[in-house]
Amino acid sequence: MTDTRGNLVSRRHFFHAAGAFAAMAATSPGRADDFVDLDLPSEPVRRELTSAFPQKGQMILQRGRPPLLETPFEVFDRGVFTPNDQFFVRWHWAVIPQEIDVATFKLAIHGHVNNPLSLTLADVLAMPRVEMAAVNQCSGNSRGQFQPRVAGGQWDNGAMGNARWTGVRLRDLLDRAGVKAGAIAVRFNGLDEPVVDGAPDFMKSLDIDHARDGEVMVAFAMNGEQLPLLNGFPLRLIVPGWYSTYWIKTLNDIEVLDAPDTNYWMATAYRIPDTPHANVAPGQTGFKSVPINRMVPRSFFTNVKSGDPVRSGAAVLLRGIAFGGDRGVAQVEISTDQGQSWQNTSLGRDEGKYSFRQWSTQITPPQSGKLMLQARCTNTQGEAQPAKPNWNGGGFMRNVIESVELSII
Amino acid sequence: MPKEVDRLEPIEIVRAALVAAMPVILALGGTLVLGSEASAKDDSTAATAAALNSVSGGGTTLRSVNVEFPDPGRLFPGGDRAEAINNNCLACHSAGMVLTQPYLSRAEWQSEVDKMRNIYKAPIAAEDVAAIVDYLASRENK
Repeated sequence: MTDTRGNLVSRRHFFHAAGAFAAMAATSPGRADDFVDLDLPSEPVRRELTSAFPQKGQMILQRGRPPLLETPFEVFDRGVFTPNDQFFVRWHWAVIPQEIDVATFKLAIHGHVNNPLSLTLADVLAMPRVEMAAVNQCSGNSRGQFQPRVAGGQWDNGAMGNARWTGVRLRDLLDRAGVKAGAIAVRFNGLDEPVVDGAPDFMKSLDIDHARDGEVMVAFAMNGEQLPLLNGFPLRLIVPGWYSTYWIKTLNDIEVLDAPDTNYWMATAYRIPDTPHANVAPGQTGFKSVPINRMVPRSFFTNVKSGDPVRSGAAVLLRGIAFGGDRGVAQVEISTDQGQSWQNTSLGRDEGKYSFRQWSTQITPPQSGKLMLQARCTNTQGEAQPAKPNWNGGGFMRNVIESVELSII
Repeated sequence: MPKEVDRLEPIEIVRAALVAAMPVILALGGTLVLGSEASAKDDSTAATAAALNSVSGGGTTLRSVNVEFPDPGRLFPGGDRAEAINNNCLACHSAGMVLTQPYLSRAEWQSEVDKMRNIYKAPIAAEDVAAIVDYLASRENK
């Protein structure tokens, strides 16, 4: 991978590009089909809705290039599996292949191994396969909710999705290559590349024991179909229970390392404070940091949103989704009294411990005015969502108890 | 989009095509992306062959994909005031995410621009940095 880069893009090219942008902006009509106002704590909150991306339906446009596309939240009310064409999209660098030939695509496995491999997709499809439902969530999902606000993709809660992934165990691939004694980590790289030479190629790594745990997989199908290119076609790393930053898309290179990975995306970026809930005070410095890792429990209302009217004295169905992070969902409770008391909800079908799980319950709004509802997920390890939001400069790992405020009429 | 397809080096092709063809694509006013797997406007024989390729095994069939991303959208508004940011920043990323950032302090914007230059190697001329930071830090005043 390291020698496949082109030459440095010259300044002249940059000016060419900028000039072309100007021409385009003057002649091309807007193609937003609609807008959405996200429920963020401060402006700007308006985003375009777009259906212009290949193999994708209507998405919230956070950035056109490289694409950042958020799932409209109402999608999560339709079931625990997020449709491929509305699954969120996040790329770091703008050089993304728009053409993949399945006959020539190769997956390399090399480094600290006995038998370096270059596998075709046919080779991968011929291996024993596994299937698993798992939530894929951006490290910065809900970053737009942070207060004080922080720089970065200003996601609301839709930078997540749940799919049934089909593929092969990473362990089986590594065993086929024969990992040598002394291996420390496994690094993953995809076909995306920076526009400018010298910028850090996006790569992530896992400790060797994690990589060989039998759950981490290389997926070739998502909800029974090949992956949309923007979600990583033809192969994507699946790291159940861990944030999406590790789920390398268009995966074509697996390198076994005999030393810790010091690349930028592990050593500098995607770091969290090594504190409970990755929480620090705004402006705080001097804390130890670690690479972001496992996910934490979350739950959401999906059939009501703040401001919705409900009738006093009439039963209301409440419904939502939850996930336990790196464990299953043990329970989801709701509170109608600012968290003083909690009542259990009914959980829907268990699709596996890494999956979204639907919850539902009924309440009867007592009187007129406002009704604040909160939902809290506890995972099978006994870890519950916190009442207070966390804060860190990266806008990572938000999992505070969510609330909605209904208007009783 | 790529007129010459060298299957051995797909990354090179995509990179070269992106840089070389960007002005052409954009000057065409942008072509709406197809929601299907193959782009009908691609007349390259090799690419057409690739689009027809499929690989099967274990009851799964994977089909080659050839798509086109939509144009990246608007310029930074503001006319002359936005000249530096439009000239320096749009080659690597579109304006959208920048314009949806919350109102950050000048120091925070300076740090973002420094990160783009020092870590992400954006070839921004030193004399343009102040104008870019000025633009970003004054957005809330518009």
